[in-house]
Amino acid sequence: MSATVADKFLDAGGIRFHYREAGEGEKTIVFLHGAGGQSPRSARFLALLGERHRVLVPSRPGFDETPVGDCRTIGGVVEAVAKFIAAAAPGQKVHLVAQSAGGAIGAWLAILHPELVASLVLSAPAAFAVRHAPPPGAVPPNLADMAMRLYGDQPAWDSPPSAEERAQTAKNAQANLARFAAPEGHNDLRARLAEIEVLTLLLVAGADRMIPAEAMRPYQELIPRCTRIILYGAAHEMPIAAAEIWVKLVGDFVARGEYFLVNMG
Amino acid sequence: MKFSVFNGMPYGRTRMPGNKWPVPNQYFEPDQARRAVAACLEEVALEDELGFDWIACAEHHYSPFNLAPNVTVLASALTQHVKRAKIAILGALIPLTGNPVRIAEEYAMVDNLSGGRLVAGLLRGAPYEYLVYNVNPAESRARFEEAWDLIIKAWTDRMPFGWEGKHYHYRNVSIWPRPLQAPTPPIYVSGSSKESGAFAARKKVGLGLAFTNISLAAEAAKHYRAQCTDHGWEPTAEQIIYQLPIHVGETDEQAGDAVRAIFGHAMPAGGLADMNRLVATSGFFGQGDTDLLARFKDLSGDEPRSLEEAIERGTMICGGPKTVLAQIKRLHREIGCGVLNLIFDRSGAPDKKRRSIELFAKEVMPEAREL
Repeated sequence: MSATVADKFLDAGGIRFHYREAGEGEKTIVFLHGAGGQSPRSARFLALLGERHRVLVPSRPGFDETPVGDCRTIGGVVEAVAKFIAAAAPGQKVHLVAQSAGGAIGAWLAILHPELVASLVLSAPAAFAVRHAPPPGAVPPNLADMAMRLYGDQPAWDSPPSAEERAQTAKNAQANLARFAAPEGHNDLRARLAEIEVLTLLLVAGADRMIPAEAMRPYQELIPRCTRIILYGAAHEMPIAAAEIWVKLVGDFVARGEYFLVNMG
Repeated sequence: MKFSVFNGMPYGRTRMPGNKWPVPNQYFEPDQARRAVAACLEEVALEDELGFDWIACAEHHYSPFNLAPNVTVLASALTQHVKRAKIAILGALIPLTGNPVRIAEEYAMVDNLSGGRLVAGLLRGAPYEYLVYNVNPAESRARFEEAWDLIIKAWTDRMPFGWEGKHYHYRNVSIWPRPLQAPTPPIYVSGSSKESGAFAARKKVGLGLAFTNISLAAEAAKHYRAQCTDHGWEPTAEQIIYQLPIHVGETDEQAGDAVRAIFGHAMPAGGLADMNRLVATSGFFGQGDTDLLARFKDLSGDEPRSLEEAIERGTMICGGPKTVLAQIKRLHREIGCGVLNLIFDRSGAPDKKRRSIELFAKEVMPEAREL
């Protein structure tokens, strides 16, 4: 039975967070969205993931309806999200599931706030892809092509995002790349990945046209307890492009921890 | 031009009446099997000494045609008897076993055992092979392509990985040994269908043409080259293999007499036409291969009725050395193949077969190499 997805708000650390919540369960997943913000078609995978676990999806400062507040750096965003977690799941260690641009935030949370993190899923994490903020006045990307790159040809949604929703996603991404881009390549994060102690699952989109496979290497090479799984044929936004298998993998990993590696039928 | 000898460890003729597949193994006789194994290993050593470029073998099931249901087992044995030539596995049928990683491991092992002499055929198989392990032929293409990508990944990725695909699922892959040849051994796929030719071009690998004829092979090779051009590369001649039976005699007459005596009975497995029809008409071929589908609907009408017709259609090479050389030149000219994979099994008698191999190596191969 799919869980209901609800839009909510929570005040934490002086920021009024917009977030989505689905499901119930002993374990709480905090999903960290990509550069486009809350995906307009996230309801299906959240509902599926919510069948087994409680799932929270905060819009980070500067995205969607969450104000940017005083967040001017990635470090500031990490601290703000840490406060959100502490407020939304008090006394709990949560299972971070970080998609694309959310990957850097998830990795930093695991490094700086191990008291909040039970495990980490990095889903097509973007930190080590070469990314630059678009120059002012740049021609916006072709939205249809971008949708194919992100979601592939068999996305899990009842209807595709409208042109308006796609434009909003692109605007979110451009604004936040300009605000939080790390053209130096996140070398500070790379230098500290080995400090991540929690069990980590690295999910790689097998047909990712946004982030090259080489950009996935540092996580597996540096994070001590990292397992890499390739989702064959999947486009970048795996929660939507390959929803069922992505949810199954993430759900199993959160539920079974290190026994995730063992086939139990 | 290069020359390969196909030696899949044929069992030889059985006492089975009729023409069936699967061939009941009640007709398996241990003494004959021992002789077949000894003959195969002796022959490949001879072929190696005579200077053939490749010794080839292939996976086939449920018949005495080849005793190689797991072709890497045979290839491993060949590595210990063939000291110079490449070991060409043409190939394993990668959608069939359900475990492509095992195939990647076994091929890598053969490459190590042979000191880096593996030629890696990764094949989809003939239609009837899908009756062996109960695999849905309509899934063949998708299984093949996913298995292919997984095998290449297993050979080339340097860190452990898991795999979640439509057909294959692994939590950990990190094969030992890796192939000696980097990034991979030379790779071939079978390419009689348009889909396969397009796939080979897209993946920038070689093409193997077997169980076909000169006009179909020429068409398939042309399609492959055109597809390669579309993908921005040009295959070498060596990247097109053409396989067919051969018998070389001292004279045309002697060769012809030897082959005519057993013409039409040389494949004891026989009886495959019906099985091929069943599978071919169950979704095995893609929509672009209607010609191939039509052919497999009635393979009985596809068989040449005489030796002369077989030679004309390029489904057999037969004659004295000069005639054989002329036939090879024609195949090379019309198909553009740079490797001939030759089946020296058509004379029926071990001494004639051996002499045929020797004649080819000594009196045909030196000049044919210059093509």
